[in-house]
Amino acid sequence: MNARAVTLGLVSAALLATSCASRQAMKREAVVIAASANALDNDLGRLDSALDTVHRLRRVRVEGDRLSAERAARVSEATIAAWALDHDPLARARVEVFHGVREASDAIGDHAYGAIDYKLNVEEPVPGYAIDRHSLRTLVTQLLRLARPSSFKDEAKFFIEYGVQVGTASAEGIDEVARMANEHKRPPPPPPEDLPPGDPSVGDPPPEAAGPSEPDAPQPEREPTP
Amino acid sequence: MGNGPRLRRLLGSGAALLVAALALPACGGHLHRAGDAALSEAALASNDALDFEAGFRERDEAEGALLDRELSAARAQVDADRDAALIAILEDYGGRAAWSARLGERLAELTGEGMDADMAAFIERFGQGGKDLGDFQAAFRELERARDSYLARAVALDLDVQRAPPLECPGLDDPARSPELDGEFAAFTEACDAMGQLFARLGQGEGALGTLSARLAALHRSMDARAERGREPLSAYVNARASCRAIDDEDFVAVARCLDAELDGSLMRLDDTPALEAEQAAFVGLDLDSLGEGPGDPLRLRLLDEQVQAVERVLEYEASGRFTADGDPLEKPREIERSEALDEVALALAVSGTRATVKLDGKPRRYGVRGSELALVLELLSIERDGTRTIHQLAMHRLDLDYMRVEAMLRERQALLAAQTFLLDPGCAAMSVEDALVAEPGSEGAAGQCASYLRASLIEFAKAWTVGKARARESEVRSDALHEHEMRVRSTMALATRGIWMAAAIAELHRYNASGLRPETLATVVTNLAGFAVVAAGVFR
Repeated sequence: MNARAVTLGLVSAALLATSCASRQAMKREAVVIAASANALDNDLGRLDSALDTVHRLRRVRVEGDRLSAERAARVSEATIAAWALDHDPLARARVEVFHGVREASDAIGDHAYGAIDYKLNVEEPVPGYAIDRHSLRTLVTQLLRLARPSSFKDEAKFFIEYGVQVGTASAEGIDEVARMANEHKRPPPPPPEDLPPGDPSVGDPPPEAAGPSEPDAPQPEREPTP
Repeated sequence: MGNGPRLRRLLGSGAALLVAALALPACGGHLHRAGDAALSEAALASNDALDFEAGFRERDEAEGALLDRELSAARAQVDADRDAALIAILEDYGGRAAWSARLGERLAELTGEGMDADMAAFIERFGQGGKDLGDFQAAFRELERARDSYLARAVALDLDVQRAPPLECPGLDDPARSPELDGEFAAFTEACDAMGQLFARLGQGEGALGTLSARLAALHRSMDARAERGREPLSAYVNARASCRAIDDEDFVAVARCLDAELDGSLMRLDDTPALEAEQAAFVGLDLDSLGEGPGDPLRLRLLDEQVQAVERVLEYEASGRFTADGDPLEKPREIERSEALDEVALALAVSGTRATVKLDGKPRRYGVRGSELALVLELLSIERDGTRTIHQLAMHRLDLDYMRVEAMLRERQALLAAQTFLLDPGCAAMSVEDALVAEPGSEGAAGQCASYLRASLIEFAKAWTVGKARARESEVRSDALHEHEMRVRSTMALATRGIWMAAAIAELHRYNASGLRPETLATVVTNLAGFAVVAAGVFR
């Protein structure tokens, strides 16, 4: 059993110990939010449906009004046409008076209210709320996936993968620690006697690294090797 | 690796430490799960994709196009009715019975009285009709003039909206309004009262005109009464600032708590001042109940504005780390600066129906706020404020359309009265429509005069549609569309509020899943522990 295996096992055990209530609470929260989103989706559907119904009823009414007005207008036109075909003075007077009265009343109606503003330009669109229901349904699905209880197999897989990731990531560091430990354990080679103290080849820092110093200044004593 | 056994022992010690370190926080901490984090991030993105702001653009455009078609169809119907009526009169082989019948019927619908009995009655009624129409137009012009004077004065004084709140009739006097506008406000109130009295006078009549006028008079009375009773809590809120400071100006917490209590009391009194039953009936009769106790209530709107502004400023203080109310605080005397800050904190505390908390540390000029909670409160309040404002505006526009309908009815009545000339003139009593048609207008004798009367009367009769009915129908169609719009805003306010809560919950969920102990972090801990163990072993060997 090597160091990596021991680490992996202990880390996995520790991780199991920490897997507790906070995640369960998160899953419960996800279920609640998913239910809320689903309810919102249902209500949006009802609102859309209600608005469509109102819109459809208004369109039906408009169409009815338009057809009724057109029918009445055709009847009137037919009567006027019949008068126009008749050449007696009464018919001519009827056609003339009809057109004259209509034009006069139209002209008066068009200019009757010019001076008074009743704030008629009020149909500017007010921002409403068009929710993309497809996104809402995707959201519900995602939340439910998040809230799904983990099986023993899933949990085991997660912890093994997590442990492997930790082990892999820490392996290099542990190897480095082991190398350092071995290096410190190896006794240093004895310094050659003909070399003066402070020779860079035996491990003293170069003058640049050690900072500025006087050339004739006495060198510090070397630390004892552990 | 000759150091293997020792290192394993060291690792054993490190791992034991690790277990202890992880077990200690136990339920408090959690491990980062990349899968959960990715899912919650996707959920966050899906939620962001729910475009609450952009919305219903297509529907709004469709509504606008539909309204155009409705107006066009309504006008076509009115024109067709007019043409059919004209043809029926011109084709009346029986003399003038068709005209008399149509005139009398419509006058009765409008005023409760049919055609006049004779010329004398006609002259008296025609004169009264002209006076009513003239009075209405003068009252409306006076209202507009008073509003313009108020605005001009406010601009000249360089007053902001809070000190010069918009005027509406019937409306609300704001306690924060500048006293320098007292004169202009009094003139506007007087013009409003005059309009209300005119409606009351017209409401004594019968028919559609009398019914609508009576309802508008009742609405004026009820909104005045509601504003009168609602003014007390609003004024109490303004006065609370001074009285609370008088307790102990040095004790920040005591003052803020006093303001909080006072404002809570004011809010409760405001909620406890519903419209009276009789007043409520006026709102309902005109389908304008949203102006009563509903979301379009001006008192409610005023209060929501205060709350939103207060929370915004508190958040601003929090972000800047200092009091920044109304301009540069460094240029203000310290006492004024502090007083303003106290007001803001107290208002934020008074936000009702939320869980927002403001922590006071008891030291003057310092306090702490949970920014995220207040930001949520701000979003919720903003939705309510914006929706309330929209509903209020829609309701006031519908009230304007009711004013327009009254004028349209007055004009229609006047045109119908004038159309009686040919029928009531003694000189034309024996003349049928056919005879008057073939006679030359303006020619010598009674026939020529009657021919002129006939044509003028027919024009007046047709005018009853184009200046009266057409305009009244336009008002109804627009009002219906605005009413539907209001219903849409009400629904969407509720949906948006739910969306805000949901977004906050999803953000919280994501914060949880995005955090947690990551494998690489734990690997670093393991390596460091191993390193410490090696060093420790070296030191204590």
